[in-house]
Amino acid sequence: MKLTRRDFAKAQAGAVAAAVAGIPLVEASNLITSSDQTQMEWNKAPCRFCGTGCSVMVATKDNQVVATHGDIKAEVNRGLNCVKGYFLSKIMYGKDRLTKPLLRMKDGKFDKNGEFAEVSWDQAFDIMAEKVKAALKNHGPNSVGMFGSGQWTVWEGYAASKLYKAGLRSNNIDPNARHCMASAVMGFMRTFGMDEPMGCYDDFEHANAFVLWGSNMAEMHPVLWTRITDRRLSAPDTQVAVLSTYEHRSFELADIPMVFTPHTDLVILNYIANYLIENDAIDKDFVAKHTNFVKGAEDIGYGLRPTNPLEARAKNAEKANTWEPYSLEQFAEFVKPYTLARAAKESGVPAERLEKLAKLYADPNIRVMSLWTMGANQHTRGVWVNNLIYNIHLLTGKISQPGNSPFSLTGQPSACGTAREVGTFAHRLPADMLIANPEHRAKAEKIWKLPAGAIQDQLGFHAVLQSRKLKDGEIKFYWTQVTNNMQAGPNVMEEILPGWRNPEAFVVVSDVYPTVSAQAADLILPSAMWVEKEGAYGNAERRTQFWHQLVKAPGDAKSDLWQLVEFSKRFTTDEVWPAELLDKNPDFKGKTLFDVLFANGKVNAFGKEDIAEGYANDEADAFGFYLQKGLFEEYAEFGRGHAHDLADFDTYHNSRGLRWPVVDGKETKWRYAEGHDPYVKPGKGFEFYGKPDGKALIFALPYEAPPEAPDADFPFWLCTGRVIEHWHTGSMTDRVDELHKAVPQALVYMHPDDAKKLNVRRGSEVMLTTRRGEMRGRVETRGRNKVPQGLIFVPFFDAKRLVNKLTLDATDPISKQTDFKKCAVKIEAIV
Amino acid sequence: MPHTVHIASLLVHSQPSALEAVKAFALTLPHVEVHSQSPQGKLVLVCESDHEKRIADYLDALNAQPSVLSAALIYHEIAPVEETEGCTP
Repeated sequence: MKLTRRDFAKAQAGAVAAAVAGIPLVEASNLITSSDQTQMEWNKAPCRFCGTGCSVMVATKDNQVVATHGDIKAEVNRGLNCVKGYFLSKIMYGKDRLTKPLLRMKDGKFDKNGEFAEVSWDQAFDIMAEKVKAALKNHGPNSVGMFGSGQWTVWEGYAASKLYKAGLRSNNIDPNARHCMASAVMGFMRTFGMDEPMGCYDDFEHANAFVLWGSNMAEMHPVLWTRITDRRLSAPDTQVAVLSTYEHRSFELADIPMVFTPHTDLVILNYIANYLIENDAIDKDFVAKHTNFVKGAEDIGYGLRPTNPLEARAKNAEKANTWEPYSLEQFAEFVKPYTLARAAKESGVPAERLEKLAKLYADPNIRVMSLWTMGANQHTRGVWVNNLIYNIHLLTGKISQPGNSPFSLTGQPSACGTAREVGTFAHRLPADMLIANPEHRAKAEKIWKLPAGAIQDQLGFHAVLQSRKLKDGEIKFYWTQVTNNMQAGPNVMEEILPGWRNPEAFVVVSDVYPTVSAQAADLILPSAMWVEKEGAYGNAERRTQFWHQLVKAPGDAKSDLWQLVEFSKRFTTDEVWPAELLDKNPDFKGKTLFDVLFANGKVNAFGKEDIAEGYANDEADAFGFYLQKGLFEEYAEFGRGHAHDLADFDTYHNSRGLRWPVVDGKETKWRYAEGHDPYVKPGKGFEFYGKPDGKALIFALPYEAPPEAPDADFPFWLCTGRVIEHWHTGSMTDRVDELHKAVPQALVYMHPDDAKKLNVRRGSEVMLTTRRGEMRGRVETRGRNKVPQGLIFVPFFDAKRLVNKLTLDATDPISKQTDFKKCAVKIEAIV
Repeated sequence: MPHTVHIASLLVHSQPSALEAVKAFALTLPHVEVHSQSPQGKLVLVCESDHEKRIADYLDALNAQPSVLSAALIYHEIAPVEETEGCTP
């Protein structure tokens, strides 16, 4: 029989899918392995997109990705792929891929108002170094800044953090994870003293109830949603509760659907705590042994500029992240006013549904997994919402056990691995350590083999503050990598664009496509992406995953890691460190930052011979040593022995990832529980060892009003978010033209009755106006998102319709994370 | 740019009682073949198309079917057309 290449591909496609489905096939196995037939090389790599951390098999041929399929051996996705995973084989091959550095020039020189022209890497680094040196000399280290990403690989974030915090001595480095995860981080830190979830994805198969606090997993985390669907169908007692400010696809599986008025999640959560106490449903033994009660500071403002009247009025804006001791009795009194009647009235959710929800948590026989992402985090009281969710799990002892799991989902592939664990935030160092803590700085300096005092004690500027400081002319040099803040950041026209175009500032954007941010920059650097470089990501369940470089980047595109490390050669310590520091440590005089940061005997400790056979490594070729391994091993020193233990480098290349802490080669599925977590002392049962006494905190926190709510002038709530076909700002997925066609322009999802009142219909063009800006969009009254009356939803991916011109740059005062989920808007028909 | 063909497999999970109906619907889609199925309601489809948009459309169409719980893409390959013709194993 003559078998064509097409037949082979189809047989293989079918065989892989059958294996995922668990359907036995007789003839399949030899087809899958006959790679000589296909001449394709298959390798594993974590997906480039969301925070789920699916593993995909990637086939390459002639330096190009030609096929992908879900990785059957991966515990996370078990062979499945979502719509986004599918397009992985195309994301690198958009027509407008950047392949040369581009500088704004006029008459052959840099000019802020010039046109972009191709330059060499040397020219690009020349002008960057000139600008950094001038800024440092005239204005000090706080005049340079960097905005990074939860899409940085682990070593890219680590190298960037080290270059800024230790090399340039500026703590003004912050990741875009500030926009999505900061409230989750602060929630963890306040309640547990340690970041990231205690549970893991295995909880999906153990829980009998799932509660989605604002998350739309069906669309945003489809592979994990499949696991919930499977559980719901195979264990018929399983219940799914979905809370959101509008109805979305996850509601299709909901046993308890709840659409609530924005911001009233605070009321609902306090009502549940009240219900648990009044119905004697708390686990008294657990609460007594493993928790302490505290009362958090109230009236903490909205993270706006201090001159904003709302901010000036707030009593405790300065001490937002403080608390005082409290007792169970006081806590009981505190939550007493949060009755069922009040919760139903303020949230708009029928009382019987709220009571059903409370009973899921109250019933000791139901194992509950709570899940949340941006709905809880992008919230001016986002940290509080996180704390209040932990409250109900702690009150009932439903935590750190299979199926009992408050689980904070993430949006980016390495928001956990890079932004949080590496500590690329303006206030952090690796392994949960803090810039503000002198012992932590000393430890970092020791591991980095740098002199005492190399790291500044002054906190850096967080994301939103960076924008303000650019606008105010304080930041003179600004570099962003793998992020598109001109589109994703809040209040673009008033607070971001003016700073980037400020003549005082020089702005560099490293990216793979000409994003809105790239077009607003002064210099664009072409980056390598995904399997064009060796990488590591850390997903939402603490799983660290590696991949090899599988293809070459196009043209002159280079990895962000190469850019950072190569750039460090442009500086000597004498140019950037104070004389005082060098006088005390003369050995460091005259060295380049490359020498002191990367050729320090640790980062360059591994030779090219350590690279697994058959794989390219462009960075090793450029620098002469295995840069990724050296950076990883130095970084891992921070966490080993401190409950953040990572395995050795090579282990990750040979596994589908491991969940930290990895102790004696064993990963940890449930932290803080004896028998699961090696850091819990024998006999303790549970130990929240992030806190000195091993006890987690239960927080008394009230409902406080949002900074802006609908009124006579701006009568609607505006909520922003994602749609499945576009991931975040769409700079990668927009390249895939069929995706762009699927959702051609930003739609304004609106209730049909509201449309009628406004005298518009489906497809009508409307003008949306807030106190900050205006935007046109088209009305959609049908479709997957069904909003309640009084609220509109606008997705934020569309470069032509920047919904963030409208959003308010109010933040959670504790986490500094922006509230993209609600502000007040006016809608007018365009005739 | 050389002409390419997209070969993909989809895994459809439907209510077991509706498997035959879902299968009948799938077979109405052009260039879709049923590769295998299981009594638990799982159906493996293989399709080829000159544009991946069609595959995305199939996923949407399947997901919109009443008894379909999920339809997910498993495998996707982009192959130049000439290579798929006349090659013997």
